[in-house]
Amino acid sequence: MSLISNAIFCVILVIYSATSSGCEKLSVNGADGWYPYFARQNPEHLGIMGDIVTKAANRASINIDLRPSIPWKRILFNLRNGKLDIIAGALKTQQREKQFKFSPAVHHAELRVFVRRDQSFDYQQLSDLRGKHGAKVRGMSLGQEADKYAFDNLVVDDAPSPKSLFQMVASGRLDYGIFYWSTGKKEVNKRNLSAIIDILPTPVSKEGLYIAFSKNSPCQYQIESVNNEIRRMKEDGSVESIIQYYHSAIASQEMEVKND
Amino acid sequence: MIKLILAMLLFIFSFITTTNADELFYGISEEVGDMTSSTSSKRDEELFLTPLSISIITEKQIRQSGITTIAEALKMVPGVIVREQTNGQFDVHIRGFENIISGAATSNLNNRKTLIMIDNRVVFDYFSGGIFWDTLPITLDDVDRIEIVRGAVSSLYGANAVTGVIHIFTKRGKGNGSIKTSFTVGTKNSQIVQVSAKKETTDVAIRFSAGTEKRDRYESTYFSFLDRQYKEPEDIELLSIKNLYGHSENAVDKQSIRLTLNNDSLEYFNFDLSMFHQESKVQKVNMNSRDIPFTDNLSNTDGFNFKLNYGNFSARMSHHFGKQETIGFPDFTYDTKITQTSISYQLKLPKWLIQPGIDSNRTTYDGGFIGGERTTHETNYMLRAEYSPKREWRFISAFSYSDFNTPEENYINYQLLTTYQLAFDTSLRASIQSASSSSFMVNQYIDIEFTFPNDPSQRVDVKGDKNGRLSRIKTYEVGMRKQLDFNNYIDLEAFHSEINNFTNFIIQPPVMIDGQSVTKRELTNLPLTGQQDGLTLNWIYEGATWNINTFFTWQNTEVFDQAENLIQGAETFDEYNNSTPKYYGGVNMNWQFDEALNFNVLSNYLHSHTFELQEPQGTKETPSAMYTNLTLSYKYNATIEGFIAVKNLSDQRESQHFYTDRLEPIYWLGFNIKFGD
Repeated sequence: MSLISNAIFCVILVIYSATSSGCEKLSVNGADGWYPYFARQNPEHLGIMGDIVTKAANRASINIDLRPSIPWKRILFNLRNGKLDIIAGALKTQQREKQFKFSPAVHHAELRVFVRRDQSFDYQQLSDLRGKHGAKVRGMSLGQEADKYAFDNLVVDDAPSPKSLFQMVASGRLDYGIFYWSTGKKEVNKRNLSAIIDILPTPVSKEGLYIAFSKNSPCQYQIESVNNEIRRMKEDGSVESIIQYYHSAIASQEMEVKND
Repeated sequence: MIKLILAMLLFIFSFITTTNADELFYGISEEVGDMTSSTSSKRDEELFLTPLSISIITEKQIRQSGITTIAEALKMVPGVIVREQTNGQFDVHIRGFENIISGAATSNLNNRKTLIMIDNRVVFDYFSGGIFWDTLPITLDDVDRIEIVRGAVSSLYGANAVTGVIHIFTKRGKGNGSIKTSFTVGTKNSQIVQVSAKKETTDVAIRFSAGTEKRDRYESTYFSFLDRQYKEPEDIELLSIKNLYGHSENAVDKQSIRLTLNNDSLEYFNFDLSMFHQESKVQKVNMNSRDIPFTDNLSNTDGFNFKLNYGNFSARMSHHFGKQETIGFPDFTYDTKITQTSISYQLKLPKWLIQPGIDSNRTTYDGGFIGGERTTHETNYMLRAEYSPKREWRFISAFSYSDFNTPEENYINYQLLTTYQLAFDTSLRASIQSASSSSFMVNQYIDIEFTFPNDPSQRVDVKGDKNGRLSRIKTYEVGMRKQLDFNNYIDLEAFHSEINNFTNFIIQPPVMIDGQSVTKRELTNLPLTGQQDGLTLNWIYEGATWNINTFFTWQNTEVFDQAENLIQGAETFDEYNNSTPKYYGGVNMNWQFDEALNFNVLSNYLHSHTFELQEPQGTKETPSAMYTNLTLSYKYNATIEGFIAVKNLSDQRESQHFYTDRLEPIYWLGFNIKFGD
């Protein structure tokens, strides 16, 4: 039965490939500066979400076309209009579910508290931030419940960029900053602030990360193939091994920084 | 007004249910969404959520549009009227309110109701009131961005922010070091050279800039008020001055130099120091010449502006001094010294932001017209508070108590504002705002007897009043910002303003004294009030390569208890204020073909309007007209870029101001060379 179904699948694939034009490659894009989730510095390693898409497409024998860096809003616009096939890494919202297809959650983005080492404090829950002056990056959500608690009880300003956020924490203008754990860790290392800034161990919140697909792309068959492969990769541990690769890379970068 | 607000609400609700934007973007577009304003609330804030009607012009927009002066850049802003007097010399008004006092002097056409600031330093002429664009000690290349607030904001920035604030933010040192030179040449013997160098180290960033600009007028003739026609200078019969002195074809000749030093603004303790010098010689409509509209004006200014922040505490001090001279009018030559200081604090609590502050403005002018050295002093005690009962809802109140040494009466200005984020892509705002002007040196201290040099039988005695009232405005406003879809964004505002407490020099019947016919003019409080209802729509389309910014204002301005020709005892009457155009607007289209090639079209429309001044100046009607600039720019590589532009592409030769130069097209060619990062 399995042999027959595979044979039918191959025939359909051949026929579809012959008749469909412009679907030789699936176009992929992602949010800039979101390491380790998406990064384009090294074409071999596009970040956790980028590598999941690349590997899934490879397993489905589909080529991908990594599109140039453009503003995030335009990436969403292109995905909605079918000018882009895949976004490698996005949060899922009710609004987006109406417009895009989503893979199962393949990873999560964890928000953590960044503090000056000499002004560190014990953080277990949001109430530990009361009476302190903090910030997040403008437009960033802490998660629905955390957002509500922060509005009612905390002083959380908006910093214009991650760079500003960490510089203000380092200079003592803020008691704490809230940002993505891995991305923030890399930013702190990049700016040589690891001797000054510490990351508190308890997360503020965790948000699921997904691969988003266009509903209006002409290449629905290929998109479904990639999505199926992502499901299989999640089951067979391939996704986890990609995640572990990046965690190891971050750990070794930290070691290098410490050794320096 | 009620109909207007209802129409606005209907318009708003018609959009509420139609949305295609993404909720993670809070309804803000790519270009606009990246912007923050620090003028609207005296702190950084998303443009989308600002409680006041505000627009921002970026350095990129200025560069793409081929604009060559700061005032001209304001042609890209909704609700702003920009008139060109001669090549490079402009008159700018927010929402009009020009020539409210019909039959007044030419100097009343100057905008005395809008505050200009450069990096929080107020730049304003307190001698007779107004904005001197030619005396700004910066080049266009120094401009990082310009924030324009439409509304009464004296409660935040002190007197004279009556119809709004034009806040210019300048560039700072950045990067490992670079030098940039730009050369621009145009017809009418126009030449602009700007040089800047900048470098940033761990402790301090430094930027140096200098610029020179020369332009000739559009024409060699002047309009003679006596003969009611444009004539060559040598053919003009003069009444108030002996000769036209330095008048020539030269319109603008100015130089400026500037140095800024600052550390990282994100540090707990950060400082910012700028030092500047400027010299200029320009022709402009400045004072009440009875012969021709223009006077020749010389100016020089030196000064500094120093700011520091320590955590949530901020302080600023600036001092500038210089000389203003109107050639041929020795009484309009004066020295200036202006010292400004301010301190403020931000207290942040959950749901609350409280901003107390004090600022002081001490102005000293020394000139014959005002009887020697005179000093006025204004201290403003300010308190601004924001409270958010819900995440999407915010109430703001701002109060200032303005304590003047003269007049004796003190003034309270206020803002009561609210913002409501109706949906992730829709924000609403409503406000009641009140603001006042300051008094000016001439209004307070003038006490002269002026005999006409070419007709000694005529004398005018002019007397000011230290306690003349200060004009006040109250503005009611509702507005909405909405992201219609991924490409389209609109900002809509409806406003109603009432302005009163005007003073002017009322003319008394002539009397014979020692064989001279003497006409006395004394500063008098007028019963006159002005009222304005209006609507401004700004629609921004952002495509992958096209950006189109379209803006349009309709406004209806009426004046009550107008005094005929400012003659004592004359009957008052109500009239429609024809001096403020009923319709005006523009469109700025930009096509970024690729990374190198860019094409820009900037068109502005002004509906017909009429200025009515006292005799002998008389009346001037300006017909409706559209003026267009075209600019093509090309970036050859990271070092070299250039542009060609045609300005005032219009086939009609028409004066935009009061019988000033009739505009002609100007053709520009410019290029920039930049070395370093």
